[in-house]
Amino acid sequence: MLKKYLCALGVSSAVGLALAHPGIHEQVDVLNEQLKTQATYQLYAQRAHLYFEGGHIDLALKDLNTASKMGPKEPLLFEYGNIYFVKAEYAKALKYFNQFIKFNNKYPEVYQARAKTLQKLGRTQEAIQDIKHSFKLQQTPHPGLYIEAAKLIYANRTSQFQPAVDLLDEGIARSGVQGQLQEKVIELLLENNKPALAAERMLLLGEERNYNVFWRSDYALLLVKTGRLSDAQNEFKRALRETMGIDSAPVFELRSKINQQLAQLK
Amino acid sequence: MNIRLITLAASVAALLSACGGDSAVTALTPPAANTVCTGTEATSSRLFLQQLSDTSVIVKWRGDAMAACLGTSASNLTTRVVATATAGDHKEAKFTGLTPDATYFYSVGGAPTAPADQTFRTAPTTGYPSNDGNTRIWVVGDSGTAGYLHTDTSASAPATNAYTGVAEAVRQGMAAFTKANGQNIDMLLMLGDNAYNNGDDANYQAAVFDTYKAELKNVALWPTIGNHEMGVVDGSALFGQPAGSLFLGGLSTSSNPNSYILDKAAANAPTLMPYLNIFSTPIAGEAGGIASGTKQYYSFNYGKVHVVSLDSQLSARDTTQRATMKAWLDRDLADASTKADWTIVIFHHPPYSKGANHDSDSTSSTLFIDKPQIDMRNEFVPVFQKYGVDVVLNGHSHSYERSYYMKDLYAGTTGVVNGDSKEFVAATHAYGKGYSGRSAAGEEYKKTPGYVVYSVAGNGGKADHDAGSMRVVTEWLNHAAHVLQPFWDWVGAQVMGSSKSGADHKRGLAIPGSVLIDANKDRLEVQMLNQTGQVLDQFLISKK
Repeated sequence: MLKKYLCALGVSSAVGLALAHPGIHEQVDVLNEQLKTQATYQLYAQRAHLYFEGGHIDLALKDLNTASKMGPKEPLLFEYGNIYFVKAEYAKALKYFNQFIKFNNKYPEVYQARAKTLQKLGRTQEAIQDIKHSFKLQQTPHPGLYIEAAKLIYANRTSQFQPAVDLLDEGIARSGVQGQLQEKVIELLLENNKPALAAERMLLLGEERNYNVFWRSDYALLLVKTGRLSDAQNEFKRALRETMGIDSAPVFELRSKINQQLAQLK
Repeated sequence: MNIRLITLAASVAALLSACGGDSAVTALTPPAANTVCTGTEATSSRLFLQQLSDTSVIVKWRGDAMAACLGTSASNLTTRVVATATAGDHKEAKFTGLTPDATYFYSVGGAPTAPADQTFRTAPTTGYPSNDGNTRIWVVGDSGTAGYLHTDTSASAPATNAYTGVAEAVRQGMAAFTKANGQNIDMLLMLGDNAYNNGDDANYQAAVFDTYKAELKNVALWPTIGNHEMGVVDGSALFGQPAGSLFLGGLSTSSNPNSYILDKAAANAPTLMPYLNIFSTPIAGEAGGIASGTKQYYSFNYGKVHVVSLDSQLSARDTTQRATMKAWLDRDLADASTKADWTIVIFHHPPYSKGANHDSDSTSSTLFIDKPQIDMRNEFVPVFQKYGVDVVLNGHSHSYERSYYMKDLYAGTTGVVNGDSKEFVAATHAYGKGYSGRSAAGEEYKKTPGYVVYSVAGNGGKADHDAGSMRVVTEWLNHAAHVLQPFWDWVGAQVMGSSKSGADHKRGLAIPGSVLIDANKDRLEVQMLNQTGQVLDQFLISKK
């Protein structure tokens, strides 16, 4: 197997190994071979991870247990937590994430993982704190992390959506970009029957989207939802005018949709 | 959230050493400008241009200089900007208020005159063609082999490896072509794996800043993230080596840019990937695209050309981050469709490839480190089609492959389950039922909504010699959606007029090279160049 990978590289030096990437099954095969002659902490820990990636949770847990008898348990705690989270044993998962944080409190992903676990246990406020802390540990948190956090908070709401909106606004302030975070705010506002607020938020997105015809059409649709039909009609008409002279299939399609909207508004 | 192989290594690192967080970053402060340029040209170990737009540019370097000067005459630089120190020991000077499609000269250190080679041209105004009517884009993928040796700084380190000089030869091939052709490049796109073996600063110095030193002073470099930008994990056990003896690059499955480990993981805590410190990619649409809110993916405009760089290495590995990137792409391409003639997308993991070790069909590899190949295909190809993307360029496979002008080969479309090679039907998916796109064959493509060409150009620094770990060897470089290369055998030897048989033909070329794109008002021409600047493949998309 090793020879095959080396051949794939066209080199005989181990240095060249890094340019090849065997798949998960092949990797497990190799580990299995190694374990026949050399049962080590690291081999079991690595196979546990591969099993986890492949969805073989019980096999992963078994390997982790074996590894933990052969070496330090601390590096395995995060993996343990993830396994118990997938097994829906949230209290156990929380215990492992807590232990891992005592061992390494600078790893953002463990706070995100613990937040998900706390949310499953109904401890929303603590989950929010963990999420916010994970953001502090990162230079530029990905907008997707804010959106995932907002979903998490919103999923555990009673009738409140404001905490999720507040978190998204915090992300907007930190990055200086409205983007997908503002779009998520608009989505939450619409879900909670706040079309007027959603329309106001859409206005904030206008500059970033260059006030283009797609944005204007989106804005007009929100005005329809607020009942401002005359304003909506004007925006649709303006968008339609602005599409003139643009020779592009997506814009042709948009024009057709706008015409349908205008016909309905008559 | 993904679970990461790297976690174990990170944990070991934390156990054995003090835990580290993000690398320290000096906050950007607004640059101050004046009109006094005095002093002498300063030396810098790296000098490059970022975020070049129609009205602004960032001059970035590493060195002691604390200012840069700029002007329209090399002998009389008139605008001085005090630099801002940024992460990774870099300095940045941002010049704004520039004239579109105009030539500028610059110095580093405050000198009133510019060295002869320190000049650039601003982009044409967004939505307008360039003054010379053409935009020339140079694309290199997996070009980072010159940095490979720099990982090992021990006294016993070898002087060369199997790929020494390949990236430079590819660069010279492009230079020879453009010199003979009389037109310089306007920008450089890098398709990921820009600096082997682990994307560290030394790798980048050798593979990018030393290799492309001349180009980087004149045109902006727009990169994307490859798997080898993410450091190493301990892979000793995978190859029967003693634990801790073999650290492998390119195997990270983390979506977290802070999970980078430099080398010998046991001694290093995870930190922010160097790529994000080195490059000043747009976050807020600074060069014309829609603001993405992250440096990991972005877009920009260059006259009538729109370029998008997606992140298939990190963002693509997390469901929510991937969905967020896709939602941004939707907005970005919608905006581009109102002003651009041509749209080009780059990212590292090819949605269609039969390259060695990176088969895009649903195989064991694509369950793990190459899963982005599947996800990018099935979730992003529909968006490319919807908004009229013309060409998608990827790396990862160390060879050249290029598809038909095609559509609807992704999961969920009629008759397609996975979007695999075997599901490709030329009569259904290919323009002209299988036109090659080649001008010489009279099979040029007419720009048609929904059709896209997908090209793999991961041959900028090395070329694979065989099928690697592919289970069916005959499938290597034979993706059904890729155009046959009838004029060359698989190693790039000319077939016509020789005794080579059809059996030597493949749907790809296992030779080093790069891609050159010429975009003008009515035509988008793409050519694959070898190390001597010879054109081995060509296709044309015409608006008329």
